[in-house]
Amino acid sequence: MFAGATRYALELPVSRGTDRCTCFRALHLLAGDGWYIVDIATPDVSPQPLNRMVFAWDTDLADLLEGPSQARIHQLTFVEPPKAPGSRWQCRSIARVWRGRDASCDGFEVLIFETEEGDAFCGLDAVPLPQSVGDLRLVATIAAAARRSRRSLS
Amino acid sequence: MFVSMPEFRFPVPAALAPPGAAYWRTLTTSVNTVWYILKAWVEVDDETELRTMLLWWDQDVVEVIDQMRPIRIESLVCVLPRVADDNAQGDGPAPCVFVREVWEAVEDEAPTTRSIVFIDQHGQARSGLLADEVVGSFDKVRLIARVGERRGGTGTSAEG
Repeated sequence: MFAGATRYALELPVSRGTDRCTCFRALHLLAGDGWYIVDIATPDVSPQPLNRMVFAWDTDLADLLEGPSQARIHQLTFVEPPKAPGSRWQCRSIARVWRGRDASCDGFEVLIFETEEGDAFCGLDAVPLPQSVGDLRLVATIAAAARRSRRSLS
Repeated sequence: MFVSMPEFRFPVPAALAPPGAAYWRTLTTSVNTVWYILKAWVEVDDETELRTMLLWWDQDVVEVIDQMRPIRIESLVCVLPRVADDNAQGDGPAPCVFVREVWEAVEDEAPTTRSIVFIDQHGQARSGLLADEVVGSFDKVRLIARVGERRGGTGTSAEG
């Protein structure tokens, strides 16, 4: 979850059609979980500037991936928090996103992220894909990353 | 700038949140420039806690470091902008540069202006809205922070 503080906020003039939107120069990242950076291309012009979004919840990201914007997603990055004191953040390129069901949790639906390197994980703490997860359904393919990927869950 | 979208606001009762705080599941960005991820140990009420912030301007990086007075900066990352080029062959994850030092500096090309210079993990100096590599020479005026170096503090450690 991202938290914005008033001291870092810049309110946009309502007349510009941006009511209820706030610009923040700074955000706090709560809980130390992983999060996502999505680069979405704007059409018609090459090279084209990318619209960049940050996501705290994978379920919100899945909604975007399953919507009409999927074809314009240029890059999806998972920012993995450091796993040990003194270690670094890791930026992992995502090639494919899947939905699956975890048999150990009464078939609870989970989102699975497959990296370019062929690793697969669930959840914001990047738990390696459990063997109890099956019934995989492809949600989205990030084209450029998938071309570079070494293997696939399929 | 990080731009909020009302549909992605996470409602937190006012009594449970600091004054003026707002919580978001998703934000977009307004312009395609560099921004920063700062992770640092700070002292709060005689205890230390680990805080992570996303910062848009290099001046905010300096301001936050100067105001928070972190005991130790665990990491500082520049997230570089990207342009989609159909002819580009190599992409990968969002390009990031790990920062080793932050300096207030004066560049020879603009001697009356103070700028913020980041020294990355490879020793390369970077500055500006796109964190471009600094080509000309510059004078380091003030060390803002060195990543991993302990400034000093008291109390017990508790990861936040």
